Order: sequence, then structure tokens, then C-alpha cells
Amino acid sequence: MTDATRPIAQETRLARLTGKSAVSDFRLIALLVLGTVAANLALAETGFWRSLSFIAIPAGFVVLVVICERIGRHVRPARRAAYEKALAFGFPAAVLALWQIAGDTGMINTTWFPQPSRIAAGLWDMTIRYDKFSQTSLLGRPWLIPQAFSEGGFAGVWTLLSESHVLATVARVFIGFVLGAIPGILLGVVMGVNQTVRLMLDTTLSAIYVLPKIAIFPIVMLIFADPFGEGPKILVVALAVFILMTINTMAGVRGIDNVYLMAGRNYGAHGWQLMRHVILPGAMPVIFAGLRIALGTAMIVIISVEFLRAKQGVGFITFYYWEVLNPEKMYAGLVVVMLLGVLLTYLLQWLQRRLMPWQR
Amino acid sequence: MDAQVSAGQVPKIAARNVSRIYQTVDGDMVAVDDFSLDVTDGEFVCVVGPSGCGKSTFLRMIAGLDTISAGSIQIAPGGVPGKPLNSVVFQEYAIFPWKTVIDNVAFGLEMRGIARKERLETARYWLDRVGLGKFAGYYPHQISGGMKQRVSIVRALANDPEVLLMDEPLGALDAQTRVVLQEELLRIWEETRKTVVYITHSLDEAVLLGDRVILMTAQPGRHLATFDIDLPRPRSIETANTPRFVEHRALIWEKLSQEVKRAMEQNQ
Amino acid sequence: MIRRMSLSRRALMLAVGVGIALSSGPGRAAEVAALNPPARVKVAYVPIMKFATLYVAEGRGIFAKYGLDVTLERVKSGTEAIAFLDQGSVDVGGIAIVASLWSAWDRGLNVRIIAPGALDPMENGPTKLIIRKDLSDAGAIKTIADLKGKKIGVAGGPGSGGEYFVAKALERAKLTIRDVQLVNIGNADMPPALEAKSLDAVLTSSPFSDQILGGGTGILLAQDFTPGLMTVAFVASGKFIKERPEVAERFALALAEAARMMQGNDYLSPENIAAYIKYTASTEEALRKGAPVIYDPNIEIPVDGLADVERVHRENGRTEYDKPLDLSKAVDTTFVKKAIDALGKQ
Repeated sequence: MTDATRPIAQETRLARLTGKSAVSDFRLIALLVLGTVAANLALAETGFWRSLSFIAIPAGFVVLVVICERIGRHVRPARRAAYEKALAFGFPAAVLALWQIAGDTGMINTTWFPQPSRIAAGLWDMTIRYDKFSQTSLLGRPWLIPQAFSEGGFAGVWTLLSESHVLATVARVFIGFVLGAIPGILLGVVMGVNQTVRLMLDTTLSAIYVLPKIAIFPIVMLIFADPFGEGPKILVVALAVFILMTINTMAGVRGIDNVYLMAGRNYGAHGWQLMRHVILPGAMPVIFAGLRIALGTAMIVIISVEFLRAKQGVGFITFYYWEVLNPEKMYAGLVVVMLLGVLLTYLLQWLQRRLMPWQR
Repeated sequence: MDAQVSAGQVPKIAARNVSRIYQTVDGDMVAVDDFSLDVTDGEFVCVVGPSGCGKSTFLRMIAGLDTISAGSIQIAPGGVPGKPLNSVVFQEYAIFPWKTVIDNVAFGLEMRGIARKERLETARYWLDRVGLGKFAGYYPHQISGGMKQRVSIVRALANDPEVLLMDEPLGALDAQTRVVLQEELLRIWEETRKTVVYITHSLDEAVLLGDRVILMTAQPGRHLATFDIDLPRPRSIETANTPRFVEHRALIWEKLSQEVKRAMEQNQ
Repeated sequence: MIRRMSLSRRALMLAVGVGIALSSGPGRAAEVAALNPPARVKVAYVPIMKFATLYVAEGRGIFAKYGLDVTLERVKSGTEAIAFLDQGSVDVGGIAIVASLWSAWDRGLNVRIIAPGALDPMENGPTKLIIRKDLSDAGAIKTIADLKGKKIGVAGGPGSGGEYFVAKALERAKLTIRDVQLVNIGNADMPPALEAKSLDAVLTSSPFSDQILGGGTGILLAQDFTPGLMTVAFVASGKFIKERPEVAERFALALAEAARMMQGNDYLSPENIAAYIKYTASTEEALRKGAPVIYDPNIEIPVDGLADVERVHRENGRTEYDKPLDLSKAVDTTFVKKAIDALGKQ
């Protein structure tokens, strides 16, 4: 075998193995990587990078997609899952890494766009710090629970946890969510089943639905004896959830195939039995889709209310750190909001799997 | 009238001069017009007609799922109190996706307040009879169309109604599955001898299964003709190869084909 | 003339200053040449009367006289303006003295105070601490010390100017803001909140204080916590100061000239009123009824008061640091000095 023939032999072997020409793909990838780096460096050297970044960044993204797809062609089926995970988590990680590097090298103004490492440090500082002025902490210092319990029993633990911003927000969302979702689902079922009620309320609900809940908050405050307490905050969350759940449940009930209702009646289900065995489970997929949206809305509403109208809560702490000009902690607050969103969504998915075992 | 049995016998189902008129913005639409039918106890009656002739509407009126505009329908109650008058097998299966196979079969019993243990025993018995015993815990999305329709049929049988109303139950199945289920239906019916009203658009199916075949006209649905099928029982899929079967089918087809053509012209 | 005489030395000095201003009149500023071509200056401001010198300087063409092409952009809060100033996308900001400024200087952000906004009057100032009438009638609150544990409404959240005022009021009875419950509430929401008895006291100013006192739901408990305090200031971007000092110089000069056109009865001259109304949400009636504040004709920057605000915010835990901040980096008096050199001290 001569030197000249070896690469060709190798290429055909690989091609047979993968069904595609691996060498040409890898050649293309190398070319793209080198080309992109060279193009960006050239732009940076000539000082045009910043003004052309609106093209350079999307173009870089497209090149990255092409490279990943080429690599994807050569991933064995057994490794497929790992490859997909790598894409799903690798991309955000790469974005964070780029952000970090851009900050460290001074390409972006880190006063207003602090690097992920500083945001993480801010988050850590927020987590361990107890603010003796406002008597609050981010989580309520759970590591002190054993000590608080031995000193003050459950009341001591409660005092400790009631200083938590996260718990304050979660409690408002949770209570407001339950208080809004249950009557919302009930009214939605009634509106789905009864045409008269539906015609009477549908327009009104659609009108209230689009109202920004933060805009009606001052009015909600007037209803309560203690306008600055938890009542208005919970009610405004409940209201947002209620409207969404009514509209979604109604759609879910109306979407139930008539043949199921006929079957239910024909086999002797009436009234509550029909509700429990046919209407509620039949509308359940749409109800859960509604709950997902309602959860997101509840988070948005409570965070925006806390921005201006609370002394505790993740929204409050986020806005507070902006007001006193501590951007990395403001970002950390936003990270907590996102984590809460992800966590609560997972919780809802778990509930969905429990309540709807018939869905894959 | 042809469709009525001789006097002196009390029919299981007595439908007298039944009409169904829908009020629409374009005026009244007559779906079923002055239709009468008596079915004796233990009789298997097939109703055949062109698409949209109102045969499904008629079945739903018997089941009490649609209102009767004029006339009357009566199902004679049996001796056992609490036994349901009718159970429907729907073309679209209509088994609940949110219930397991066995809970679907036991549904009618559950609604009648029968204890859990007893109703599950009954449901299991019927599932075993159609070979679905090991699918009891499955959800409908996990089983095939043919299996779903078996579940739908045994849901009706487990409910033990006075009459069984079947609305094109095999209409949505492929040809092979259909043949298998026809045989299964024959076998089960010959063992139980339920009173059945069976709606179908397939002439072969009607002749193979029925004691009587009723033809309906195209819209509005009126009575066109009645044919007694004197093929010996027990029947099987082989019955379709006998000369008697072919004779019956040819005779009915002659009458039906005229009606189908008329219906097609009407629609043009 | 200043409407009410005071025993305070400062007020006397101001009164004398006004007298001279009236007798000599404007016009000595011609020594500073107009810039040609005109220099663009972008100013972000919160539309309140405390920046009135800015409105007069723009509305009556003083900026134009010195070759300044000034654009006024409204912003919602001072923190927002600080971000723009640090980025250099805005040249000057009209900013309330709030905790974010201390944090900005502590972090080395490149912004400087170049001129003062309005100063609080020496007496009968607009900011009032008002208690609920029924609590006063019942004798539950007679002095500031009685406010301990009570709910006090104040506009502006943690580290705001409002919080500083409450802290200064409480200081008289050796209380701190942690001895009371502070409730962040908009000024307009205060009258109904007092009526609904959901607050025990509020800190507010005209016209809301007049509305409460006139409506009989509240009683004045205390005022004038901070006579002569600079609550707002003109803060310039470091980039602006460094790259275009001649523009900054003329900007301060125009503000000083505007302040001299607003003394005594001139404050409500038709030209001035037109300028106020153009750049704020105020009405002529409100302007005539409003309590006067001081627009110092010498536009001196009162650094001592600034240090006191910083101390109170720091002691209330509104800053990340706990040692007094070196305010020499925060203030740049060059431009004020040059302006007064050109105009002559009054």
C-alpha cells in the first residue's frame, strides 16, 4: 500500500461503516470552524465586529447548526440519546461560556451585563445572607432549622422560614393558584355544559382576560381591610388563574367528542356521575394545558406585583437590587424566578402524570 | 305493514310511526319519516339503507339519545328489575380513553351501583370470552382498533340489557378484522340470543347476521322493504358461500340498488 | 423676594442674594462665548418641579444662547438614568439623591454631580408627616415617639428619598425606620388609604398633603426635617465631563442664569410658568398654590447634606458597604465655580 492510496481506502471504509462520507463531512466541519474563526478575527481586527455583530452572531449560529447536524449524521444509534442531551444542555452552556469570556475580556460592560460567574456569586451571597434590616433571607436559611426547632419548636421553624423571599412568593402563587383554579374549573364546566351561562359570561370573561392584572391591582387593594397584606396579592393571582382556567376548561368540555357523552348517558351516567366519569376526564388534557399557562401567568403576575407592592418575595428582592444598583444580584433574582418557573412546571407535569395515567 | 309481526305476540321493541324532524335555518329537515318496526324477543334485525338515510338517527331514538318528533318507541321491560333496557355499541367505539379496558367494560355496571368485586368479575368473564383477558389493565390507546371494538361490544354485553343496539359497529375496521369480528359476533349472539337491532351499510353483513333485513329509503328515511332471512343457524363465515345466501343477497340488492341510484340522483 | 423671612443665616444670605439679583439683573454672562456649531446635550430627567432651572434654561432659550442644543428625555427613575449616564448614552441626568447613587460611586461608576437641583426651603417645606385624625383625637399619637410600631406610608421604596425623610423625622425621637412599618405607596393612593384607616401616618407633599389636611382625615405632625437639603441634583456622565468640558461649563452656567431668573416674584413670571408646564405634568393653579423651594442663584452644591443622606441610607442597610463613602469623587464643582466666576457671586 502506498501513501497516496491509504486515505482513499480509509474513506471508503468509513463511508461503508456510516453510509455517508465521514471524511468529507469532517473536512467540511474543519473548514467551517476555521472560516468562522478567521472571519470573526478579521472583523475584530478591522474594528467592524461590533457594528456588524447583528450579522456575525446569527451567521455564527447557522454555522454551528450545520456543524452539529454534520456531527449528528455520524452518531451511532446507541449514542443518539447522549448526543441529543449534549445539544440540549451544551448550547445554553456554550452561550453562558461565551458571555463569561466576553465579560472577562471587557467586550461587554460588566456593570450592566455581569458575567455568569458574578451572578452565581451574587446568588450564593443572597442565599447565605440574612438581611438584619429587613429581617429577610432568600430561602429562610434552612440550615438553621434543627437549631430553630430545638430552641422554639415548630413556631421557631415557622419564624425562620417566614423570613424567606422564595417561600413568600411560592406561597402566594400556590394559594392564589388553588383559589383561582378550582372555581375556574367549576365555572368552566358549567359554561361548557350550559349554553345560557356561556352566552351570558363568555364576552365578559374575554374582556377581563386581556386586562393587565397589575393595572387593576390598586382597585383590588381597595377591597381589603389591610390593602398592604397578603390578601390583594393572592387575589390578583387567583383572578388571573381563574379567568384562564374558566376559558380553558370551557374549551376542554366543549371539545369532548359527543359520542363519549352519549355513551356515558346510555350506560346510565347522569349528573355528578357523568361529570366525574366523562366530562372531567374528557376535558382533562385541555385543563392541564390551561394549568401550564395559568402557572406561567401566576408567576408573571406575582413577580410584577412584588416589584412595586411588596416588602418580601423574589420579585421584591429582584427590583430592590436594581433600585440600589446592584445588577448582579438583580440578575440572580431573575435566575431564581426562572428556577421557580422550571420547578413549578415539573411539579405540574408530575401531577399530570399522576392524574392522567392514560396519556403516554 | 311488512315490518310488523303478527298480532297476539308482544314485541320486544315497538316503534310506531316514528318521525324525526330537525329544525334548521333553511326550514325543516325530515330525517326519519313515519317509520314503524316491531322486533320480537331474541330476534336479530338488521337495518340497511343508503348513506344518510336516517338509520343511525332511528337507532339513537330507540336508545333514547335523540328526541322523537312524532310517533312512539317502546321497549318491553324484562322480568329482572334494574336491568337496563338498552345498550349501544357505537361505530366510533366510544370506549373512554381515560379508563382501562376492564373499567370500560364494567362501566355500565358501575353506573348501576354494582359492587366493585362483582362488576370486575363480570367484566373479566366477558373479556376472557373475546380473548382480551390479558389486556384488562391496558388503556385504549395501547390496543388495536379491532380490540377496541371488541371492548365496546363486551361493554354492552356485560351490561346485560334487554336489547342490544349496534350502530355500524364494524364500519371503521379493515376487511380482515371485520370478518373475524363478524364470526365472533355470530358465535356470541347464538350463545346469548339477545334482541339486537343492527345498523349496517353492508348487505353481506346484514344477510349473514340477521333474521330479518329491513331496507330504508334515502332521505327522508322511510320503510322500503322487509326480507326474512331463513338461513339455518348456527351460521359462520362459510354461510356466505352457500347458494341460499347468494340468492337472498341478489334479491335484496335489486331493491336496494334502485334506491341507491335514486339517492345519488337526488344528491346531484 | 423670598416669601418668608427666616432666622437662619443661610436664608438671610439667600435673601440678600435675591436682592442683588433683582437690582443688577441678568446680562453679565455675555463674556462666555456661544459654541459654534451648537453642541448637542442629551438630558434625562424625572419630570418634577425640583429640576425647574432646567426647564427655564431650555424654555427661555438660555441653553441656545450658549450654543447648546439640549434634548430633554423623561425617565421613570434615577437608577434608570444612572445606567444611561454610565454608558455615556445620556450626558446629564436630573436625578433624585437615592441609594443607587451611593452604590454607583462605590462601584466606581463614572458619574459626577455637577450642579444642584432645588433645595428644600428653610421652613414650612412641602414635605409633611401627617397622622390620621382619629389617632390624634384619641391621643394615641401626640409626638413622633408615639409612631413606634405604626404603619407609615411613603412614596418610594427602600433607599428612596422618601425613606430618608421618614428616617430624619424619626431621628428627632431617636427612632429608626425599623421601629415603624414602612409601606411603599404612591402619593395619590395616600388620601384614600388614610380614610380607609389602612395607614396610621403618611409622609407626603403638596398637593396630596393639602388634600389630606383639607379633607379632615389627617393632622400635621411634623415638617421641615431637612432645611436646605439638596434632594435632587444634575449628574453628568464622566465621559461628557472629560471629553466636552466646555459644554458642561456652559450647561452649568445656563442653569445658574435660569436660577437667577426665578427668584422672588419672578418665579411665577408668565415665561417661567410656560416653561414649567411644558416639561412637567403641573398646572398653573398647582404652581401658584405649591409651596416654594429654593433655587440657589449661586448653584452651590451642599456636600454636607449629601453626606448625611449617605449616612442614613448606609445605616439603614441600603448599601453593600459600611464605611462612609468618599464623596469627593462624587461631586465636581469646577463647572459651578466657572459659572459663578462668569456671573459674579450674589
